[in-house]
Amino acid sequence: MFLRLTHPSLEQLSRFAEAADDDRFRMRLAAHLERCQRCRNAVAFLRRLGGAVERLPAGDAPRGLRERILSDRTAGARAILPTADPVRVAHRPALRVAGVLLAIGVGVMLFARGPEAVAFGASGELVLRPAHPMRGATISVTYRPGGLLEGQRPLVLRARYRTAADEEYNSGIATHTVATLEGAGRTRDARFTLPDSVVYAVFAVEDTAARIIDDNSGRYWELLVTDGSGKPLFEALDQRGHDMMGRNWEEGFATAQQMIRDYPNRIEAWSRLRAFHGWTGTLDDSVAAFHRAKAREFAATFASRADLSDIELGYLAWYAYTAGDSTLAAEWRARLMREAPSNEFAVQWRLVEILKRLWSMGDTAAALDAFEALWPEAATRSAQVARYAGGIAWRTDNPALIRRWSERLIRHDRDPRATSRAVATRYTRLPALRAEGMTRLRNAVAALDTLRPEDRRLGETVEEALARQDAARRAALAALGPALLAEGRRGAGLDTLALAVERGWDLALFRDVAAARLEAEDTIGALGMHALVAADPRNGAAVIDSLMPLIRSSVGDAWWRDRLHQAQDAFRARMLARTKSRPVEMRARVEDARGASYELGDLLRGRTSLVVFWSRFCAPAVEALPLVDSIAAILTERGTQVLSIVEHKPSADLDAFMREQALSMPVYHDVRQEAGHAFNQWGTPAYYLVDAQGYVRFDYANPVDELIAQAEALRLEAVALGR
Amino acid sequence: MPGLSADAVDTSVTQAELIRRARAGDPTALAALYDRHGDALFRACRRLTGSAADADDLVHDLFVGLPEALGRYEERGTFEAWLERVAVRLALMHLRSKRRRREVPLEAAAGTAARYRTDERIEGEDLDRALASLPDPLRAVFVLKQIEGYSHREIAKLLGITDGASRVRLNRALQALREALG
Repeated sequence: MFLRLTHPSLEQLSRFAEAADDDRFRMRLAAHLERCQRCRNAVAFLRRLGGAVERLPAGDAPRGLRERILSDRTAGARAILPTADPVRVAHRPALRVAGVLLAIGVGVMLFARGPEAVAFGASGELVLRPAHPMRGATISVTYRPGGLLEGQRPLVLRARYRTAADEEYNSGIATHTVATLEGAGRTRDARFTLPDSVVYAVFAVEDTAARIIDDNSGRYWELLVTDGSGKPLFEALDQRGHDMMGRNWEEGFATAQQMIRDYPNRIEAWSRLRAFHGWTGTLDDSVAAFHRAKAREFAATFASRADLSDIELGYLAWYAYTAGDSTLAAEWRARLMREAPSNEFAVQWRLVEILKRLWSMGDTAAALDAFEALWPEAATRSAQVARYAGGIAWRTDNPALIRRWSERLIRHDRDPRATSRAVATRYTRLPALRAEGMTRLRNAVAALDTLRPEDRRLGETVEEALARQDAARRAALAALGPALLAEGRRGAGLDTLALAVERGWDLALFRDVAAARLEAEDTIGALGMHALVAADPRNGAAVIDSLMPLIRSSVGDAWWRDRLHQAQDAFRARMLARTKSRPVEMRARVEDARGASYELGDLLRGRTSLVVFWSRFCAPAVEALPLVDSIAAILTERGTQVLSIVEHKPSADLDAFMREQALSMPVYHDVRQEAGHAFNQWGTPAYYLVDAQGYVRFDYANPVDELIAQAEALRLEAVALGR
Repeated sequence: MPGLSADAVDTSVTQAELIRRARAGDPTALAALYDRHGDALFRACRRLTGSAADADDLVHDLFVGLPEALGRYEERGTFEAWLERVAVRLALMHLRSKRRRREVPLEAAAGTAARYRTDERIEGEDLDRALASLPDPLRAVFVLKQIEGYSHREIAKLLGITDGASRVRLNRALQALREALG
């Protein structure tokens, strides 16, 4: 249906062009087209587009993909596939945007909500005064321990500090020991001074051995620097949003809404809000239209201003682009390029132009020259520019070019040590740079022998940090080994590979080392690695079947059986080495759909369990449900129980949703919020592997492949302990 | 790799038999299914993601996981359609899970706005580049509707949106393509 005075949409005209609609619709459209040249042109375009679709390049799968699939499959690789359609995320009524202003009001409420003192809370209470400090303020701290740190003395206050220049996500942001909390009574106290550059900080409390950490159920405690009136600085809110990336999408969203409320004239705030609308699944058509209108409103205001800053110019071009107004985006992008070509968004678009010319012309040298010319202006986009230029430099096999761009990437990337290791690994594959790569890897291995305090992430115990560092060390050794073999140093190479796999459980590493050993004609060493791979429950019998000819011709069945038995023991021991062991309060209660109440102990004691926290209103949690349900089926078959917990009360809507999804895992309702606190859970989705004694041994923000193996290791542990 | 050469694949074997054998872990059956469907799935994934590298990873994961996933194939509708839907879901999951930074997509070809031309043929390569430049949600609907032939209802189910939202996104995709291609 369309009014006589308006034009049909391209989508409607597309149906006409395809003759895809009923006669009455086509007749009305045809009558309109007789009068309207504009729409006739549109139909002509759509017909040409249809022809172009027929001429799209065939683009067959690349050579070698088939062999890689079969090889990886035979080596034991597996993947869980989404065989069910995703589900639609329900929107919390308060967040459904009839107008964005309503959401802003709700955002304030969310932002202001703090953790409640409830029974079974393992976390303590931390009070920071002043609660709304200015830059460089001296802060008094009072901490009352909860169950986690009761009786521990003294305690340590650690922080992650953010300045206005820090980026999204938390990798590469250093942590600091801020103060020692001391006191003879129920509370512990301290004072410290915020560095002037800090605009946002999060805190956790731990024992002096860094084995027990109170992170306030994952929320941490936080300070936002204010302007003296109690209003957080824009930069403080901005950094809070960055800190929430990957931690809690709802809080990030709430922060974006707070930015709008407090700074409605800052276009960066609207651009951030648009991004969060996309990430949280709340970008429906009315919200998208709102953002386009807002972008046009800013454009009208900015067009009349003579004092427009480069930042405002860049953000408007970006906001118009992400809002989907291509005409407005093109106009402001052109102005950005003329007036502020060094702005971060301009640099990014200039980078894209270089890549487009490279794709169309194929001139690698010209592309690298262009990147070299762009480099002095790269500023905050330096890592991005270095990454792309480095990728092109690698294609040239020119060691000088490769080295130049690799060193730049290391200097500017957010985690220089990890980047340096990755670069060094690549160096070892190029003969001209191999020696340099090997030196870097040796230095990296030596450096990873020591845990620096600033490298231990906030909320991470010493054991967890050491385990993470050890994994990086093993990867560096696994890269160094083949490099030594390539240099003809067989003994040193094989010894290094042995070091790489002597601890930890990394299937990909085992396969790589098996291949390297086989290539070095160390068949027995290679089969030893294959035994580890075969012992992993994620691999099927096909792995062993494919190896039998080699086994029988080289070592015999008896040797293999013995090795496999050792590998199965090693699987359990290594998988469970250095895991956390956090008790769950077993008296916390949940309810089933009929309202019957259960203590967590009734549900968890005596069995290995995967507990899944999800929410009907959380897009990432809902999207993961089909995959989680597939994993649940595998775990249940192997003897690990899976149960899920939602925050909502039972309802007809939730019942209908559960039936529609045919989820196999039982659902319990955390109506009193006791289970969330018992697990120290904050945000969804959250996944916890609990052993038979009721201790959380692994937790995840996403369902990972290792989860299946870790559950199996816990189950085997329970069997061995007779539980 | 013993027993896995393409020559060993018997093209006269029925698809049902291949599915049965692949489900049981037979690598030659898996290879045969790849030979029959791999290219088409790669093209679909590439068009949805706008990236050949991403399509390579997705098709790899699809076939690596296929034998176990076949346990959930209920033989409703054609196998091709079922397999393509799994590939489409994988591609859409990949698009959703890409790490969010304030970066223009690598293949963005949001170039100069074209004057509207009414008579020039649009080359397939030009359309290919223009598709890669579309925002993910718009490209997904265009590819699924105009190339892969899904209905708006089916697209809505795959993307977790309404029929109406699918139509609106298609409209915006067509507008953006018209800006880019004239």
